[in-house]
Amino acid sequence: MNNCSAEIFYDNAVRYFGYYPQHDYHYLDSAATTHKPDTVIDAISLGYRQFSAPVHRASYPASERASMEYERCREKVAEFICANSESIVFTKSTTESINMVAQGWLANQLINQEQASAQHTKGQCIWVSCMEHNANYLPWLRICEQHALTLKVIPMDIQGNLLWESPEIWQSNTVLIALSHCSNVFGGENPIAKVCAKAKALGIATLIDAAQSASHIGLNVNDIGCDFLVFSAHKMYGPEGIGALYINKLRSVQMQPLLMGGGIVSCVVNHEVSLVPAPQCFEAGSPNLSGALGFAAAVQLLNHLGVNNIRQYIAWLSRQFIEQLTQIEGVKLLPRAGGLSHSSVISFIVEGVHPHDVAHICGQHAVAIRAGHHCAHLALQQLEQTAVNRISLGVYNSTNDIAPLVAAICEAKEIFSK
Amino acid sequence: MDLNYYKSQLINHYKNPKGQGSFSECHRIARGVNPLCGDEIKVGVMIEDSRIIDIKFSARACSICIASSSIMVETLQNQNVSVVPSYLQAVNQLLKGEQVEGITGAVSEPLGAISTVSPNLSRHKCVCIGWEALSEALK
Repeated sequence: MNNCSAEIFYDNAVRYFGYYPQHDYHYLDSAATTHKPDTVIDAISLGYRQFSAPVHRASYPASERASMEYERCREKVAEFICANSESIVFTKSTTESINMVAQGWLANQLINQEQASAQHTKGQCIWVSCMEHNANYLPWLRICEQHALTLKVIPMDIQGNLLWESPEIWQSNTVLIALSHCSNVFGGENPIAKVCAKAKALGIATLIDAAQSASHIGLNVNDIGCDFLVFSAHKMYGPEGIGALYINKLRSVQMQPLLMGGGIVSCVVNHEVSLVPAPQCFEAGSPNLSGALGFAAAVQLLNHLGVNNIRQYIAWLSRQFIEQLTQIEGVKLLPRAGGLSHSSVISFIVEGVHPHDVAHICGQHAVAIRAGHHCAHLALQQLEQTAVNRISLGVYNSTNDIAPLVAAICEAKEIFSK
Repeated sequence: MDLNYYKSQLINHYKNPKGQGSFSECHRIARGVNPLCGDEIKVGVMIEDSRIIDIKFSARACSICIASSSIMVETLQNQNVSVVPSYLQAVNQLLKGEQVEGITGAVSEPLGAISTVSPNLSRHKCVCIGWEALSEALK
């Protein structure tokens, strides 16, 4: 993408966030949560105004409409990752999606194994990468503690390349590899399709955390070849409180609901429970219609802007940020996953200034950046840091955000150099 | 722009912290963590006849945490342990923007500098973790 086409893309994209320019601040924290376009806000509002009624519960027209709209949203989200709608479960978040797989699928598999062979599952391994958010680390740690499995960590080299080809990973005792597509600290991109292809050939299950990639990288679960893929609406311009869990056909029949309750049973007789088919059997409780409407509207915007165009714009913009940041003496950029020269997430350290102080001074310059461990303790341990600064980009960001950031970092340096 | 505390006595305490150093076997030690950012501090205190005769801390933390801990050392050195809860309460009051008087007279100037952090809710924990670790060490 060149400067001219980037400008055209930005002008078109930012129109959808009508309120954003009025805020008069530079939001560089889209990895945490994105702003919501007017179309998402309107879709949610419209749903409440026109067909506020329970989903899959009643036969009156408003409820029929609510159910139809909810399933239409599921279809849109499924299409977005080239899946069929039966394979998409609406959850409340990426975190919940991963916990559902950990407790509803893997724990169930392990218990079945233990019962079938009367052997303990000790010796089996789960692998996660050193780049994982705690959401894709702690659920597996708990499973390992509960079932005497070992949790192992795939390291990366200093360029940010995940060392996924290590023979130790590909042993017969590996039951699952859980891997983020884009790291929330290092950004970049991990080679998920290659990992999943090798895992599939060896019968190892795979879960891909696409929370950080769904906003700007096209996802096709058929090409990726994963068993599970998870993402959240609020990191891709949708509302908080709703996420998606893709489960492929093989794993879907092996999975049990994490939550039991209303809406998931076809009948209950003498304490015998018959579940409705997937995906409804994994969605106990009243479905989140407003969330689904917002989610589908967010997907619609991404499709409208073109995910590939977004990817190119974010790559172009991140290169502009990186170029300016590397010119500030004392600013050390962290590597990007996959050794990429561009990334939606750029993390850095300012020598002599604690990240929390950098972020605070940026905040006072109306530049919203983050400091801390970013819920990625494995990554921070690898870096031997307790905190780093992070900027992350959305389609409403532009080169206008760079100068204020640079000025704030320079002021932070000045305050602490005296 | 609210950068007052970077111009206050806090920044002097950060650059020349009092009590930063290693512990001896006689120190009672407790740890404080800021879950927001992962900052860590260890505070060690030596007591003789109910009097604080030494406080030391070691931290991987931001300027506010280190400055606040330095002020804590300066304020509580040679004080009776019984006044520590009052000072912790005073710190919390200063962070809420309230006036504080009457612990041992008027609030000392360095302690008063903590009030410059008051408008920044996300930094309150940075101020408190050293004080909270000290309270823990005294239990």
